Formats: sequence, C-alpha cells, structure tokens
Amino acid sequence: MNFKTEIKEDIAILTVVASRLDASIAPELKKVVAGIVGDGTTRLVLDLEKVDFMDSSGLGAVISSFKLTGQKGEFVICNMSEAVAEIFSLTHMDRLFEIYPSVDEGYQKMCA
Amino acid sequence: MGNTAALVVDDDNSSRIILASMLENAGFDTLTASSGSEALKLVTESEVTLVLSDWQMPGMSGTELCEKIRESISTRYIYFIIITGELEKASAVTAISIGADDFLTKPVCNEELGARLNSATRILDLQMKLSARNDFLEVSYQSVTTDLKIAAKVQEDLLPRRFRLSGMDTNWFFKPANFVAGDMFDYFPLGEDHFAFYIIDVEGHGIASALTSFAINNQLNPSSHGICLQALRRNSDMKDVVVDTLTNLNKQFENNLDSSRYFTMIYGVMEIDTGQVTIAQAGHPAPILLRKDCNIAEALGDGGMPVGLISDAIYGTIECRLQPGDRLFIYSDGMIECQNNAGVFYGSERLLREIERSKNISIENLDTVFSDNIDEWNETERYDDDVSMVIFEYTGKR
Repeated sequence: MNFKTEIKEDIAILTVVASRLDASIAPELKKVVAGIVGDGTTRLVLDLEKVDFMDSSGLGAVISSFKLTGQKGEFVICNMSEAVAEIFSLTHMDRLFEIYPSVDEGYQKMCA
Repeated sequence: MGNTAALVVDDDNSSRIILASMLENAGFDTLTASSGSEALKLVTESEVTLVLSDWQMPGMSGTELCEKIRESISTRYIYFIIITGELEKASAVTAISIGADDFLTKPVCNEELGARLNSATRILDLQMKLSARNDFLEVSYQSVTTDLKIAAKVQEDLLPRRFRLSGMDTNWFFKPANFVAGDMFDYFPLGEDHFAFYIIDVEGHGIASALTSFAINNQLNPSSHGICLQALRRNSDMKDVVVDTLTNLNKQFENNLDSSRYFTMIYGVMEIDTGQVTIAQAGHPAPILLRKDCNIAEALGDGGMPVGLISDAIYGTIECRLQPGDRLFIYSDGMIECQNNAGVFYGSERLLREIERSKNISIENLDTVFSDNIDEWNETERYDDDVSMVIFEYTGKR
C-alpha cells in the first residue's frame, strides 16, 4: 500500500506512505482520491510527510486530486519536505493551496 | 493441431514393439529407435516432443541420451520419460535430476503409462501455448521497437539545427530516457526583428509524453498560423507578447480534469537589435545567464505556473538585456534531477558552477562538454528522465 486513508468526522486524512510520489504511483493516488470523493467525502487533508521526492507526474496527480474534490470541496496539504516545497514553489502551486506544517494544524483549520 | 510425435527407444525388439503400440493406441504418432545414437538423430531430424527411453542400453544409455537431447535441442521442449528395471528404481531420482521429466518401471502397465502420458500431454500443451505466446510477444516487441525507432527519428528531425541565426549562436544536446521523449525545444526568427525560443518538458516520459510534445511543437512555430507570431502581431509590449502566447497555449491544453499531459516550459522572445529578452518561466527550471564580463552564472526567475495544469493560470515574465558574448542556458529538470549511483542529485548549484567553468570554451563545443558532464554523473547508460539543454550566445546587432 502506498496510501493510507483515515476518515475523521467528514474529513479524509490521506497519507502518502511511499517516499517517492512519482509516475509509478501517481495513477494510484488519483484512484484513491476518486474513491474517497465517490464515497461522499470532499474535504481532504493530504499528508506528504514521508515523501522526499516528487516528480512532474506526482505533482499532476496532486492537482488532479484537488480538482476531484470539486468546487464545494476543500483540499489542504501538510508536512511538505524541502524538496517537495521546492516543486510547489517552482510551479507556483504554493499560491494555489493552503499548506500547513502538520496534519493537526491542517485538520484544525478545516474544522474551524 | 496434429498428434504429439513420440519416440520409443529400446534395444529390446519386443519391448520396443509393445511400447510403441501402447503409444499408438493412446493417440501418439510414434517412431522407434533401437539405440541412443539412432534416437538422437531422429529427435534432431523430426518434430518429436515426447521420448520414452529404456535406461540400460548398449552404447549410449538412457540418461546419456537425455543429457545429449537437453544439450542439443533448445528450440522446443522435449518431454523425457525414462524406463528403469525394478532394481534400478532408486536411480530414477538420478535420472530426473539430470533432466528427465518422469520415469516408469518395468514391466510397464497400461494404466500407469496412461497416467504418465496424460501428465506429459498436459505439460507439453502448456509448453506449446507458452512458446506460441512468446513468439507472438517477440514479434510484437520487434514491431513496437521498430515503430519507436521511427518515431525517435521523427522527433530528432523536429529538433532545430545548430547554427548561427540572426543575432544568436546556438548549440544543444538531447538525451531521451526511452526512444522518444517528452522534452522538446526549438528556436527560430519570429517576424523580421525577433528571435523566439522555447523548451518544454511534458509530464512523464515515453510515447504519451512524446505525442503531446509533437502537438505542442505543432502550435509553436514561426509560421503565420502559429500562436507565436499571432501574439507578436496582437501586442506591442514584449511582456504581453510572451504572456499572450502562454495563456493561449494554456487554454488549448488545459481541458482535462485529470491534469495529465501538462508541461513545464520556458518561452522567450528577443529583440534582435537590442538584445532585450523577455522570458516566461512556466514551472520549468530557471534559465541561467552567464555574462561575458562576469564569472558568476545567475539563475533567472522564481518559477511560474506550468501550462495545461490549471485553467486561468497567470504568467509573469523575466527581462534581461543581453550584450554580445552573453550566454543563456535553458535545460530540462532531467538534468538537475539526474542522480548518480550514490543517489546524489546533479543539482542546480553544480550546474551553475559547471556553466561558470565552461566560460572560455567556444559555444560549438558546449554540447559535448555538458553532455559528457551529465553522462559522467549519471554513470549508467540509461537515463530515468529525458535530459536536454539548449545554449544561446548573443552575437549582437545585425
């Protein structure tokens, strides 16, 4: 398993367990998120703590996941490593997402 | 499909005749041989796939025959059953260890033979299906490889020639991770007074990415149908020209919910007579500028949104004025993300330092310098991602 999902209240906490979020697991991320959204949860906290490498396919999958949660959905990202943060900064995706240093903070923010 | 061809090998006439008739009755096309050497010749010359051989024979023994068959026939599988006397039963284990598939004990009873033959037929059938599938895969693989080689040639032909264009000397290198790449670049005079250049890196690599890069290449060209010239004619400010081009591209490629096939890009337009360059950095690694009168290379820009990833992406520009002899380097992330055997990235810092070190080398040799440099870092022949680099040197007013 490359991903772990926990549903708390109506918020999904999706943890990427793999250390590389790249082309080999990007399609699986999209599938997992499609499943969560299909089950009716559109508020999602993405935990990237374990990810120390992300390639263009990984970034594409994160953006797709964000799009899947839809207009009424919420999507925050937590625990970015320096390497992942660099990609978000290079692509200006850090301006598009709410990013938090920990899952707790992301979750609390969503509950507020 | 015809019957399985079987061969009975026994120096004893009556045993041979009885076994052969049992096999015929079981539906096998049966040949017979009275010695190991005769059997070997028959196996080589015919399509026999099942051999029943006596162990003890004058000259070549049954086990020797089995070994010789295994050595000499590699194009098809031959199922080998060895027949032992009651006293040699323990030796059957030895026979199997040297390559026999099964054994029978004399006197051979019809029921046991039937069971052994069923098992043989099952394995031979599987073997045949597997081999047919293998042949099919081999043919398919050859055909795909041939197609890919042709596609790679088409892609290579789309890359620009290295030569002096109005205002710019150019050079580049390109290393696809597979036959074809998601990296693509080009440069061309745009209208009468401008020079345009771009490098793109489509998400992923391989065939799907290459097809997208072909489609983008088709949009970005100096013709009046191309979006580059249209943007130049629609706007007077160079910033607007560059942003208009990217916004237009983004509209064309951002139509999919799953964000696959997006790309990062550097697009730049230079006024040939002034050396004024306007660049958009769409999620692509920063262009690097090396001034002729300075020993420090400088990365330009702080990023930007990729093309085709989100709708309504906003693009900014980077400006710089080139003086004759100044160099501009654009490259794909495959370059800085290339890892050596110890897992260390090549990295932007190393690239900046290598660019500084290359200062006194003539531009026509820089493709080899940087290509060798990254090959040395990569250590293995295969690349995990496409790697490309384009180098420009401003030659001044026409």
